[in-house]
Amino acid sequence: MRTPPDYRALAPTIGVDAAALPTILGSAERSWARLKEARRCLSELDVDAPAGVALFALGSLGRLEASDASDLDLAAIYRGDLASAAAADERRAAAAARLRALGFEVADKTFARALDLDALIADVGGRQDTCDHLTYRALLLTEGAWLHAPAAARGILDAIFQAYTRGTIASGRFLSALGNDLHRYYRTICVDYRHKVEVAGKGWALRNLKLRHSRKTWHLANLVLFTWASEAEESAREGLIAAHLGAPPLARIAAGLRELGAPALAGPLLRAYERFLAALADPEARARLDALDHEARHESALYRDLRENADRLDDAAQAIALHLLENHQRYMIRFGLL
Amino acid sequence: MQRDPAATIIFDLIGVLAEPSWRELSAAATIDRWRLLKTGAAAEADFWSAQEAAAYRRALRIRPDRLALLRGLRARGVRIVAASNLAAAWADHLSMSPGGSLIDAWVISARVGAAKPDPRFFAALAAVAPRGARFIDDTPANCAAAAAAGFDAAWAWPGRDLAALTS
Repeated sequence: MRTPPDYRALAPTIGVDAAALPTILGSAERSWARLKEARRCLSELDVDAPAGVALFALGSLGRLEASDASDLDLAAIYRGDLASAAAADERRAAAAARLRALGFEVADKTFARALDLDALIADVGGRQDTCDHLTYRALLLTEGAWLHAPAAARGILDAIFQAYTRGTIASGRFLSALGNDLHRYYRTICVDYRHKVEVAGKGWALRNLKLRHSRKTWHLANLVLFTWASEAEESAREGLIAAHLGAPPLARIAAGLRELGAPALAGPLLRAYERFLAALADPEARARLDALDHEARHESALYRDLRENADRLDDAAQAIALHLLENHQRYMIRFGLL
Repeated sequence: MQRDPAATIIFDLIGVLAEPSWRELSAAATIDRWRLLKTGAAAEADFWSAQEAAAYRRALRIRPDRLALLRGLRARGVRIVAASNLAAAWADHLSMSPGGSLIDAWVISARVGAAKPDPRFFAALAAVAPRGARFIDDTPANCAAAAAAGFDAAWAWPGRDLAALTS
């Protein structure tokens, strides 16, 4: 993503007044400005030593949906032939310290350890493939924004993409190897949610609402993009998917529906997403959701409001999915469903 | 002496051989100022601050994975030409960076005084690379202009396998 999506210009094309999307617009502008600030700051780390280590922002900053209350998911990927795991971990730690000094809340959970690119792509779908590998591949391709060493970072993203496209037997006419892996990631996080709240006892409300809003929208964006590509000439599909896969999900959905002749279907989805992002931008609301007991959920006006909003997003997503099913059955039934 | 088109490959820089774009770093530079800078009509000092200029130079490199590609091409006797919309000073920086010496000729918009897809850029390119040579760029409009100028243009979308385009 060289430039952020212009949601102000996009809004009227989907039947929405840009003034009705203040959080989406504001988050995109702020996220882009923060990304660039982080890049300038991290340029002070030597890009040539160690070579082959790149740092990425994943999550809301990578999707240009971050608020001041958002964590930064900082991922380090390295090329094993150029750098060691220890050097990559060290680089990540140095970057995290600088980013914290700049006011970023750098999360040290899922992405705390640097990963070797070869491990990510050597065994896609095989026995050595792990949930972590799947998570990194899916998120790097769809919402990975470089933070340090852009030349290495672009090469890493290309290598991951090529892990799906280079196959002579199984890449598929519709790049189904990639489409299936993105499906697999979405289903994985749905199951993962259940485990986290049922078994691990982690906070459920924020996770539930993120799953029902941002993760569902992410999945829908992939379906729209791949359906769009399926209608293109076979020789143009790979380039079309490559050119749009890293765009924020809302922009992917709007662009895809415009090309598929139904731009107005994106309007209700963006309106519902606006409410969700506005709630998440409020640290006090996040704290209340984080602490919300499952048994007491119906007593929370905030939760009820966001659950109803998730229902509205479901309605909007359903209208889009039905449009795809009715008008693009070849892809949607054979690859989206079966 | 007439050059063999098959013995030369022309690469765009930002988006193909090198990263990043100035757009991904700058807080203040604008497209209008870029139009002037890339055609040599303005100085870099009028484009952005000294701090941004320094940050960009620290980040701007030829991709490590492209170095292997370029070395392989050179080993096959292929002549490498860079053809890019770029400030002259940024091209100088890249030529001194790791891998810069693998590029035999640099056709840079700020030195030409015209940027892709302007036909004047391709006229300048034709002075150092034979028409018919493979031309690889990440912008479809530049590929169309290159094809119109007689080059064998190929669009390098993100993730495209360049080895297949240069074999």
